[in-house]
Amino acid sequence: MRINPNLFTEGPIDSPTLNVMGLALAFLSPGLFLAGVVEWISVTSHNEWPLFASAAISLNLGLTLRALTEISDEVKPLSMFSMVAWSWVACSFMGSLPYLWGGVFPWANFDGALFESISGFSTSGSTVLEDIESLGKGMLFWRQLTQWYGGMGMIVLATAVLPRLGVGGLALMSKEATGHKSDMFRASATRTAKTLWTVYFATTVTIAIALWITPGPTLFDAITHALSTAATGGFSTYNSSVGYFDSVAVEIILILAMLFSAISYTLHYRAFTQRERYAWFRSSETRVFLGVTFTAALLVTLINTSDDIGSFTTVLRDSVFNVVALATSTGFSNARPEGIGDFVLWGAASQILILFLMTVGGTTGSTAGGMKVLRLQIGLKALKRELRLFEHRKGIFPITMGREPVSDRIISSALAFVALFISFVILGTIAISALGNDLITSASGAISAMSNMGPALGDAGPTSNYLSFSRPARSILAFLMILGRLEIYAVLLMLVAPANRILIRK
Amino acid sequence: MTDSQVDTKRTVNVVLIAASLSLLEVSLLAAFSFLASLTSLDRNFFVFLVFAATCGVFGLAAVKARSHRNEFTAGEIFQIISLNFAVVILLCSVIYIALGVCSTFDRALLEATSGLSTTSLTNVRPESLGESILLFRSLTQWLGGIGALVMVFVALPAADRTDEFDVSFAKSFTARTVPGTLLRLIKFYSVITLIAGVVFVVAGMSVFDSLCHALTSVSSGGFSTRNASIAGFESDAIEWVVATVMLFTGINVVILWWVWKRKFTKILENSDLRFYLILLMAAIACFSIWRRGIGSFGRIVRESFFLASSLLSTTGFTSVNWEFPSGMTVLVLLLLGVGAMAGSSGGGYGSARVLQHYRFARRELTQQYKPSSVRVVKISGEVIDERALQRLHGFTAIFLSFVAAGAFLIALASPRTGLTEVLSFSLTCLATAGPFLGSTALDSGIEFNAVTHVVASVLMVLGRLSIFPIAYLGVAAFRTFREGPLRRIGYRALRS
Repeated sequence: MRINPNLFTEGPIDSPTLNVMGLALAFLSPGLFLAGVVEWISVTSHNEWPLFASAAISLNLGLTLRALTEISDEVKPLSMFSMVAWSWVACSFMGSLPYLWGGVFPWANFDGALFESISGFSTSGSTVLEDIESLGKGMLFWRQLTQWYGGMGMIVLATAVLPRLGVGGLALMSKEATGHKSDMFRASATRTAKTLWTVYFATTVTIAIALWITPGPTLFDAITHALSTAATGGFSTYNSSVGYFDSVAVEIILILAMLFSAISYTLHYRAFTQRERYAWFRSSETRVFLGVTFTAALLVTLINTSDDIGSFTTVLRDSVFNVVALATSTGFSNARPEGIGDFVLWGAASQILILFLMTVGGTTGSTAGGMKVLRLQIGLKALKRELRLFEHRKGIFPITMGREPVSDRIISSALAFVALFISFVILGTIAISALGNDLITSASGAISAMSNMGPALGDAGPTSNYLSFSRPARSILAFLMILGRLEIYAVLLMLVAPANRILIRK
Repeated sequence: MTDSQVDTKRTVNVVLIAASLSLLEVSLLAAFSFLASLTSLDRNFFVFLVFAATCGVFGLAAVKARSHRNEFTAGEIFQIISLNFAVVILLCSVIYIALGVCSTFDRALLEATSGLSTTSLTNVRPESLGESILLFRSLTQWLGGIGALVMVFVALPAADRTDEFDVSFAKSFTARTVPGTLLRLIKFYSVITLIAGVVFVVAGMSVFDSLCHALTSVSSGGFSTRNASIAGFESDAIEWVVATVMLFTGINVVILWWVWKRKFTKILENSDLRFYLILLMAAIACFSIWRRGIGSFGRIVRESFFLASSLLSTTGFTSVNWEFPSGMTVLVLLLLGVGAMAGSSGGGYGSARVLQHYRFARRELTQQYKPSSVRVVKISGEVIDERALQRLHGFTAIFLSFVAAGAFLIALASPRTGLTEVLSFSLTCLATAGPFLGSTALDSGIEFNAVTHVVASVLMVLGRLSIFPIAYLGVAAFRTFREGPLRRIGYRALRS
């Protein structure tokens, strides 16, 4: 292989992957700078220089990549997959830099810092930090910001990129996307991003204000928790997560905020800016999501009441909060010494329901993770059709979502996504348990990572952290987090594309 | 005759056929057990005599009463099979109560369902029972095993549904007529049982034990005459032999038929068989690595082989205690869930389906790489239909949700049990295997109360009769209910 000697002198190279990666890195710079400022103002610790320097590095790196490359108007599907996946990976590496530099993790524990950063950018919220409160304010702020950035990326990914690629049946969504219908990928993605980020920003500000005016959280608490709630991330600045506030008002605000964030941002945009008041309830996916969450909350409350593990008000409060936190793939915990928020201690029946909610996750077009309610719906409809086809063999039963017919190709790809999701959960479980964790911890850990949840069951519950997994197992979990966040295909194709000769037989 | 009269007549006929079949089957089972009880003239002697006679008489009466019409719709065929299954289970439970084996009906129901569904879940101690009862238990499993094969090789082709359930291989086994296929199946199955029995005698079992174990191992059942299952014999030779028989039990009957017919090229081309054997080898390797320190190489391989083939064929014989470290737990549950090949008497999800899943996932990925390309999924050189692939996902969804729903109900019934035990119990019932995690003989973390018994019985039946026909019957029953009683209520409400 010979490298073109005039590679950079002939002008920018046409590489959408590098270009978008540069853009993403440049985007991180203001956040890092802001975190540095927070660290500087707060007198608790003095890690501002690592943050400022990281800001400078990411800006420099990003702009250089932008300058050296260009992106053409027509982007091939494979490039889209690789640009999304590689940008996410680059951001995760960049995000771990301040942790290492600031001494949060020693350099020898590089994978720990990377895990924390991946957990942030994939909006998972699982942590390998023993004592979160020992970090400086700026570092904590950056940790929350990684989730917020992850949410931002997810909005673009979920509303502009994935529907266009038709990943896992999401082609269904492209019809009802933002209204910016342009054949050019670049133009439509940019405009969608700008519109929906406004909604995202407004949501974050609203949550922050609501939290601030309730008694308890300080301004810093309100902002940091708003950042991770809007992204359905689940990082908190306290070791005991939301349980630190021990306030019903805060929990109610967070419940509403989490539900809001797990609903498609496209719908929010239509409901607020285009004055379609019923946009939320007209979408069957949202109705099913809310219905499932509500039913699960009710069932878990009933089961926990009958198991007699606390007074009714405590049971109600903790069941509802945890069910919503898990159904929206946020993963906040309100475990307090006197409450029953630690769902590791619940009965097996409640835990099965929780695992189901964890797997299904939120709705498409939101920042929530998991398999997505839409695919559950498509799966159920396909199943119903199979049963009808069994009786009337030659019958034709079209499947519709809303009023639109769904093509067989879309159904097939949605089902394939579910199958891949389950396969990776099983493979992850095998790998993690082979490294020494028990069945429940490893299975729930794999599910939790794949659906970007945060806490798991067993040893890795809400009051514990991911240090209960062995070190190689944590790397596997980090991989599963990216896999789940990028809806599997992007990551696999990023790795598989070079091996196409092996996989694609002529 | 009006339409409704024709419908009624057809329904009566279906019920009569199902009743006659079940009564005659139970009569035969009781008659064989009666023969075994001749050696010791006790209470069992009379019970079996009475049941053999009554069931025989009523069965023959029902045969006389039915109309000799040989055309059935697909729905009717599945109704006959399911009804047959249900009636036999009920009759067997009654026999268990009459024999005094079980004290309550739900216990008897569990015992009978476990037998007919070829699961080895039991709440009695075999060594405390008489020989005739032991033979009866084994015979129920043998009947259950042949029932599963009848479903695949007789009922589905007769209902013209071979392509519907990815059992296209059934074509190479079926004879020209339905009774011909049935006879061929029974003959072939009996020959295999006989071979297994002879091999067991050679390995050192007593004749009675080898008869019972041949009946239960060929059917992937797993009932034993010893409390400690195969471990009770304390013989290496027996463990080797039983493990080998279980390995063959998990293989598609058509492949065994091809061996008989000496069509070896077809066997070598079969990717399902290759996958099943690879899975088995991998499992043996993993178990061997886990148990590397326990003794001689022979013992390690023997125990691993036994465990792997018992799990994969969902037989459920045990030669060692079921206590596993974390990594092995997952492997055990996985093998249990995957189960045997399609077209064998074993249960579970089906190793062929796993292979289809893998090929399908690979196709979907390469499709993303080049969206305009058209790619097909091939198994053993044959293209799998797109609709069959969608059904595969339907099956997966139903299978997983049954495991979850079963675990949920059992967790509600025994609230103090952990998640692992509950999940493995539900899975073992649905896969019709038997042993579950945390079970050492009869003592387990699960509270065996009436609800658990009933839920376990339902899961076992669902696992045995393949899921789609049952789901279809459920939907059909619901539709009849909605269009019958429910609509009448609706009309009344409208009028008033």
